[in-house]
Amino acid sequence: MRKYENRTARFPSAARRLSSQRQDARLEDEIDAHIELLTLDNLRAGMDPAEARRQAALRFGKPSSTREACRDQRGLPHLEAFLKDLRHASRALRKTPGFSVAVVLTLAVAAGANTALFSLVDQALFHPRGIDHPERIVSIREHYGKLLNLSDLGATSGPAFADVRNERGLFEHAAALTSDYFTYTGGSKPEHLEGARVSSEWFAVLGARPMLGRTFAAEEDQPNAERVAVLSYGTWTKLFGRDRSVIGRRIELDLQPYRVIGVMGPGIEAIGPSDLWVPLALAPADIAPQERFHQHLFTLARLRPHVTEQQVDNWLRLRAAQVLASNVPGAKETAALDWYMFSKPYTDTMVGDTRTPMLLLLAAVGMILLIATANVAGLMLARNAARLHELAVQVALGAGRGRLLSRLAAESLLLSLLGALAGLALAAGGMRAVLLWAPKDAVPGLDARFDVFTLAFTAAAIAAASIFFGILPAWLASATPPVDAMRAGTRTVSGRQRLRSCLVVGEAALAMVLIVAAGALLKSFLRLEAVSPGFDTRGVMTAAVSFPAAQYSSAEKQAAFYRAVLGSLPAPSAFASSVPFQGGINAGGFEIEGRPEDEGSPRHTDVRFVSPGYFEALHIPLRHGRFFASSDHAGAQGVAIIDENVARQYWPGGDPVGKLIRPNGASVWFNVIGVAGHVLQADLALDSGRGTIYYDLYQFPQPLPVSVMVTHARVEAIRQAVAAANPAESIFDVQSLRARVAGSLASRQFLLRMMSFFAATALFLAALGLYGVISYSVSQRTREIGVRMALGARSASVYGMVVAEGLRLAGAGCVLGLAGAAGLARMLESQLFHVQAFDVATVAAAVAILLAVAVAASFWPARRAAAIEPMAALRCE
Amino acid sequence: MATALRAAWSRRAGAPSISNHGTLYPVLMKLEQESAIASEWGVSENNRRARFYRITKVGRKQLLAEKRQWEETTRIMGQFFALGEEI
Repeated sequence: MRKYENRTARFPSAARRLSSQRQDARLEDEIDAHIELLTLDNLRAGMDPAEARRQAALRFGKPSSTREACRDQRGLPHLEAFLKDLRHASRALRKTPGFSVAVVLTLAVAAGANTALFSLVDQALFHPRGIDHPERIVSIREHYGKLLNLSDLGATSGPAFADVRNERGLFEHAAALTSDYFTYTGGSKPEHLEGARVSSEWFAVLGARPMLGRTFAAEEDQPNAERVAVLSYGTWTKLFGRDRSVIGRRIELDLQPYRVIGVMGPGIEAIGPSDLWVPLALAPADIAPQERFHQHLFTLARLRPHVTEQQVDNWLRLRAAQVLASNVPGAKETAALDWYMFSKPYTDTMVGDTRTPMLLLLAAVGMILLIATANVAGLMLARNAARLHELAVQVALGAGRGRLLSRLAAESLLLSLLGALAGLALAAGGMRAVLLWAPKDAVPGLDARFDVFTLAFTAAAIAAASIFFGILPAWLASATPPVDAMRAGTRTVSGRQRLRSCLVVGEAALAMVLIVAAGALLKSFLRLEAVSPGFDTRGVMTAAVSFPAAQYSSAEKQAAFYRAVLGSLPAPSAFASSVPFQGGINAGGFEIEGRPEDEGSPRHTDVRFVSPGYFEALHIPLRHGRFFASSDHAGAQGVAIIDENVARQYWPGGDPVGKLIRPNGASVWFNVIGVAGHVLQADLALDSGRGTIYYDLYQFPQPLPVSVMVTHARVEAIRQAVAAANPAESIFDVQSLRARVAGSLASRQFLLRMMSFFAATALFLAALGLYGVISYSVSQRTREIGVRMALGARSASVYGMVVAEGLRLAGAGCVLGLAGAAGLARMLESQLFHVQAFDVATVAAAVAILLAVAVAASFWPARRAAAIEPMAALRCE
Repeated sequence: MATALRAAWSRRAGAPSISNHGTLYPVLMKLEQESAIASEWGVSENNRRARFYRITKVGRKQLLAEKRQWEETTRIMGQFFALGEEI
């Protein structure tokens, strides 16, 4: 024994675990002996045996408490006890499957939705894939304050890029990109690739390293250097079957040989077109001063450590001021346009307009979490309040407060764990669903990656709430003397019922906020869908064709191709330099013959080159004059068509037809032959108001790199026509015009869908909470209702009484919710089109929905109440 | 054991009486875990089986330390109250 105890001292934990049972036995022995001795003392004091034993037992106290306390003292068995609690909890939860499923489901929905959304937003806003330290990357932009809708050009000129590249004090790396199309002709059929020309430091700016080979060296980024290419992971997989020997191989792009020098890993697809990259190879002429206001490069820069965006912006402003003060061509005119350069954080650049919707959705999903927490808290409160009697009995039988709390905490913990696990599964599925719903170009490069931290946080928040509300009743139960609790029966729960009612009112309020938001978004979306873009999308198919410079050296060759294709397609069909809702801006200034430009109000319009048949194909109305005709060929007098906005702006009250105009920098004049209707270019919600000047495509002196076809023919017919005109050509970006217009609404539609989903979830959870409270209150008032009915209350009035309770709670929620909705309105406003965030009709509809759901949720408990047998109710406890 | 303990206590004047003997055991167990006391089964003065606890060397050291600390505390408190009387 002694030896054993020495060992106990040296290896306490192991020995203790081994001896746990023996110690229990010893303690029993000792307690028995102790009581025996006390009894003996009492006997000697002259008591009769029965009394002596009773007094001894009183003196010793509850042996169960002693056992409990000793076990606690031993330490390790805490865990053992807790495991036992968990087992007990799982038994108890299995006994009430309805409750358990409700709680787990609620938790799963909240945890799943939160994890999915937070993970995605985190990726999009803070940790984009494949980018090293995105917070140190900025894009360089240019701004024209005085030109309609050009406050952020999104591009820079060659000289601006050169400025940034040469400023080594602020920037560690700087690089520029311009997108380009390539036709790969090494396979069985020509393959269209969307690639980019990038300067040599492009990958260094992003902090992305190649998976195979290397990226561009500075001397490869020169005009007339050897042609080299870096492939994306996707292209490497698709065209070369992940053949590692592709490095060093010569491939043919646009009929030119290129040497493959590297393959990038997956992940940086997010930034611009990225099937493959070739060097930008800017020539000295591209960064010459006369290029200063020709913005065509997407410029990124990586800041040196400790350089702030403020420093960068200050430097850019200073540089812009220097440019305007210099004698750079165009500086004088540009100075009047409030032109300057600025920087934009990388994630803002990539995420763009999606930031507000994302934050809105985060707010919404956060509300779901709140509602779920309130719901679970309410359910736990009700469950454990109903078990007050049982708990009181356990206290009376000697259960310590700690043990009781531990047992209830185990239940809460088990539920939270199950909820979190189910939430994990839901989040995985949910993220895929969100990505499926999300507009493709809204946030490129997202994948269903988990943020485990978010899940842990969500689960912990819910667990904390459920444990708190789970053990609150136990705490109260163990604080009141068991006899009172038992005697009081069910009357002590009114306080907790009030707390539950408050929780439900809160849930209803949050649901109300979400319904109002979803309603406003829906109304706005319907209004947007009804907006006419100024042309008719019905039956119009669009498809792009790219023209490698090597094959199309002159405008004549390109014109021949156009004629061949259009000749085999039904009229009206046309080619254009771009179509509405395709993205991108092509805008510029123009001169009017005999009318010098006013300083301070520059002439500025969108510019589009279209072949005859374009207006007819899109059903753009002719206001005055005529459309392009086949007689307007390359050799004929140059002609232009302006839209009504240009006409109104520059010839107010006059007739523009017959007037001569020319684009800035052009040498020949173009005769205005017609005025067409104004069309929206990119956004149904926002008309920049900027007009468009159309020139005849056949009169454009240089071949275009890409043009887009508009026709009513089927896709197969288009393909055949193109292949017949030139077998090496293929079409890409094939979309109906309707799809392009709908695509511009995609992010709004996504926000609407998500918000509606969250509103519906919130409504459902709130209804569940309401149902729980009302149903519990009915069961508590069985006796009271029985008395009322015995005294002649009709079942209709019982219905009314119960439903009124539900309506009262929901009504309070509505009032609170209105205040909340007013708070959300400001954030929502920017996402709405011609709808007030606090639209009266929407709010009224939301109130009606919430109240209707409240009636439905309290209807079943009401039916149960009305079915109460007065006699049975009076007889029950 | 109960009698032995009671005897030891009652030898000192003003020793508190334990209203609930059961509460002693967790304390004894704690002390035993700290190796401050050791115990074994034995036979009581009136021939009953009982468990006997005795203080160990470690326990004695601990007791001394506690005693010193207690004396220090009472000394400080004494001075404090004396100060109060002066004012």
